[in-house]
Amino acid sequence: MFALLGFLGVAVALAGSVALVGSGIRQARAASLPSGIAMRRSIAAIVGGAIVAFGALEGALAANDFSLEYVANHHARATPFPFNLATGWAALEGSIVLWGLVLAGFIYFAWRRFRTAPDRLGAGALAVMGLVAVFFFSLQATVANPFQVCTDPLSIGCAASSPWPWAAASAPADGPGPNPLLQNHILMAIHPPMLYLGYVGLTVPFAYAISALALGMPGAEWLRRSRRAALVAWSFLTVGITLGAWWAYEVLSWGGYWAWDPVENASLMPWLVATAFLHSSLVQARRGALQSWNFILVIGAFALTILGTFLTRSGTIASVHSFTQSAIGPVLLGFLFLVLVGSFSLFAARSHLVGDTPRLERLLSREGSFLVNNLLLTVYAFVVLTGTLYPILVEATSGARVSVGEPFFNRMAIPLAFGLLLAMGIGPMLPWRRAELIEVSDRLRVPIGVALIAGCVTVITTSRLGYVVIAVVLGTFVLAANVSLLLERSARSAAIRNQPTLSAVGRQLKADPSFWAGQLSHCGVALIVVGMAIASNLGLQTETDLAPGDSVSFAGYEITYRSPFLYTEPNRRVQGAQVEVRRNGQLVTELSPRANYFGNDTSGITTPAVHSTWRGDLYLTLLNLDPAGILLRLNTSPGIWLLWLGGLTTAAGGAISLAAKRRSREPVSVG
Amino acid sequence: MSWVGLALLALGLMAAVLMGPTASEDRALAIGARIRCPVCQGDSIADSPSESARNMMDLVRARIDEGHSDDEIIAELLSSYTGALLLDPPAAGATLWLWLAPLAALVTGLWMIRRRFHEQASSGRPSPTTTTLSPTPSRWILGSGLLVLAGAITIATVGQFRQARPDNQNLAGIAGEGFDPDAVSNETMEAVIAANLENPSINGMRLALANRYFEEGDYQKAFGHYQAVLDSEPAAAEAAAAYTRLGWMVYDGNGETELGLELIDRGLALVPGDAFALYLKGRVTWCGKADPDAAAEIFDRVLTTPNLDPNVRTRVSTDLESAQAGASCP
Repeated sequence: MFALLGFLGVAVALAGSVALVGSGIRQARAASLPSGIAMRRSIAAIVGGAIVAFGALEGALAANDFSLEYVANHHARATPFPFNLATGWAALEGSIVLWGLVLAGFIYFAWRRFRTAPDRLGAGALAVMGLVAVFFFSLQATVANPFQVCTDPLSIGCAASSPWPWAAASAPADGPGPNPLLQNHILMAIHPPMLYLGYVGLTVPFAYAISALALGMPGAEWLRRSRRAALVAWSFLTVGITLGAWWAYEVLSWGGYWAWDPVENASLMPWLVATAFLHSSLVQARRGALQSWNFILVIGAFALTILGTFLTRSGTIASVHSFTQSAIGPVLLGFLFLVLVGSFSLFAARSHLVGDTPRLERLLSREGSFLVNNLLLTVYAFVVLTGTLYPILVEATSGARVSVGEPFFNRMAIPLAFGLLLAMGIGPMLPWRRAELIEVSDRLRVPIGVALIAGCVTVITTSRLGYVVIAVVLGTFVLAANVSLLLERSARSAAIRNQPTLSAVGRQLKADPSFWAGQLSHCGVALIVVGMAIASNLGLQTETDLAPGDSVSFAGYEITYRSPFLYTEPNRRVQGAQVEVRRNGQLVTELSPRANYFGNDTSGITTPAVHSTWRGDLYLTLLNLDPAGILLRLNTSPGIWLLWLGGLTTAAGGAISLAAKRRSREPVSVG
Repeated sequence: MSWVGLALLALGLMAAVLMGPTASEDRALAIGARIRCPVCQGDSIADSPSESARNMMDLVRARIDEGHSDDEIIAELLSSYTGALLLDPPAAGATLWLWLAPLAALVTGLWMIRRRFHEQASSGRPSPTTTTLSPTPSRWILGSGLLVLAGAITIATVGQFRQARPDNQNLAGIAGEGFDPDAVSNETMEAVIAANLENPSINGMRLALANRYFEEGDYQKAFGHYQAVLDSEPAAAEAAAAYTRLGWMVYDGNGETELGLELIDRGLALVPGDAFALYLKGRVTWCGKADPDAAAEIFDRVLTTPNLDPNVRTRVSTDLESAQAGASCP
């Protein structure tokens, strides 16, 4: 039943996508507005079909319908809520279904904004989104079909399947369940959908850009209309990346949160390019410059999401995330090729229409700082891209095996991040067009002073490590620059009204919400950089053998191993060690680092136990457990909460900006 | 605060940092961070909680205590662990471009920005250099350049995708059709298996590894893997192969003839008429039970198997003749 339902959903959505391409192109070519019924129907088909397909998959998982091959091979009866539902996107085929659903949502919202007036640009954009939808729903109908019915059940799982939902199905009694790593933590259920909302959202600016190029309308209109979607996508990407890092920290038991894993890189690259676009689009909106550059960024961001999907799902690169493999690799690669060749040919053919007058007067100006920021962000993305693809390229051409890891990325990315912080502190202080050095240096004096004092405090109280001190100085500089800018503007407005300065702060924030939301995001990034520098340079690590009753002193804590424990849950066995943590003789907490065994798994997934305080986390990993005792790894992660707080603050900036735009009904407010 | 004060503060800070420690004082962790752990995808051996990474870290600490240099220790790790790789590629040889490309990008970008402002400053009014109102050759060159680049990347990546991966990083890739067990060392296979215990498709590799140990006569190691295969609800053919060889090993290794025969029979019940199982049964019957007649009968059945490997055929024929002659087994 679920198979048939899902199959029909995919078929209807696919038909709707094809129809949307047709009606979109028709309306984009016609000067007058034809009846919108055809387009309305095709949108309804896409949205309805995608909802039915996703619902059928989740329904099959909730109802333990093992006659679906996807359910039989990725689900188990014992998998508890919410992991049974999260299994819907834990493997390749299901994740493409979620992708389709999110894409349908973005198409719907694009159409809502469009239907009021004759609108060739919007119709063309919908046609492009329709094309992308055709691709993703075709995947679901062919190489990544999650609604295949099982024809050859094993005792657990399924050996062979048929793509036709009416084929005689025979269900196994149970399945092996999702990958153990995926059912170990609740964040796993949340962070992929967030990332998908981000990835898929970048389709909208891409669609508007292609539509504008194809129709020969490369003004600021496409930019105005795609900025909102870009901001939505960027905010979700930010949340998704933050939660993904948090998940890695809480689950992967190595005390870190970011390993420059190819799939992490695949989410970072579109984020960097989208961030660059959010800034450079302001330059175009305000000053009319960087028009071709904006096209390149938007096309690049979309291509990078497809590249990311290819890297994740084709198994080309080894990664903790390559859970699945299938024939989808070459198909995605073909699509990527099509996107790149198609978009850039179109861009080359229409570039004579893109008026890109360099009306920029001076590097020391707001637009100049945006240029620097764009340079740093794109070079950053380029570094990540090079580092990720280099091993593949070397191996493909010379057969040699090289590995590009953390040392390379850190050496490249840290100076770039510091440069970005510097630009973040100075940029907002600069007026558009041209700034005078005297004036700027005057405004910067206080933030610089505060930052240097913070640096001195760090040197005296905490650490003299270069990375830490520089990160603290630059991070504080960004925060102080923002505070001083806010106070300065408020004071000016208060002086006019003859009011106290503080009463004007609220009014100042409300007067330009998008700008201040952007500054909030800058503060978030500053917190992230400081948190990273502290956590990765000032953490302690040691390993120790403990027999029951033994204690060890570590980072001011007394850590005592009490006893081993073992218990069984429906989907897993949990084996771990009860550990007491004391400080100055007082019991602080009891921790239970453990290993979880899912199904027939005999190696177990080590799950760390974390005790969080504002000073830093105590992070215990159980490396070995036998009757004689345990081998325990002890880490401290000082300041890691700054990282989570910073990530969420950065995303909150995006959300506030969106909310402000909604209230003001002004699609672009230039900050 | 005056600029002089700020400058003094900055200088003091710089001095404090420059005189402070440079990086992690733990040499072992610093070395470990530069080596990719062979079994855990992408993590360094300093980070990974896996057993092989910990063994490698123990080696690093031992070598440091013995007074080896960083480079010596890294060279030893890279040569003695298959799949271990330097995470920190040198700025030379094949990885030179890795380091140069970002610098080149940065320089190009700076030059482009500079040009934009520079021309503006010299001409004093909007300059049309980077923008033209008609398609110019340079635009087309840029467009085609991008196309060629995209094509090259795609082709290179497709080539990569088609290759069977020779390392252990991607289990499914290795266990797929391109998998050639001969190209993989025993240690690598052990590591892959250890990293993928929950994966049901690991059985094929387990069996291949166990068979290799079996042929090398390393029964102890083979034993555990065959048992693990049997514990994991294997396919009939896999179970049969495991039972048969377990049977031979308990006979050949421990001299337990009856148990050996029972196990081989279990294998034969799953895959009736399997030539190798029959041959082993014949050997056990002949040598263990000292029953050449029954053994000859079994060898005879082996020879009726179609498509028998010629080498096996000769061996079985020789055994058959001596068994028929009533000789005790060689």
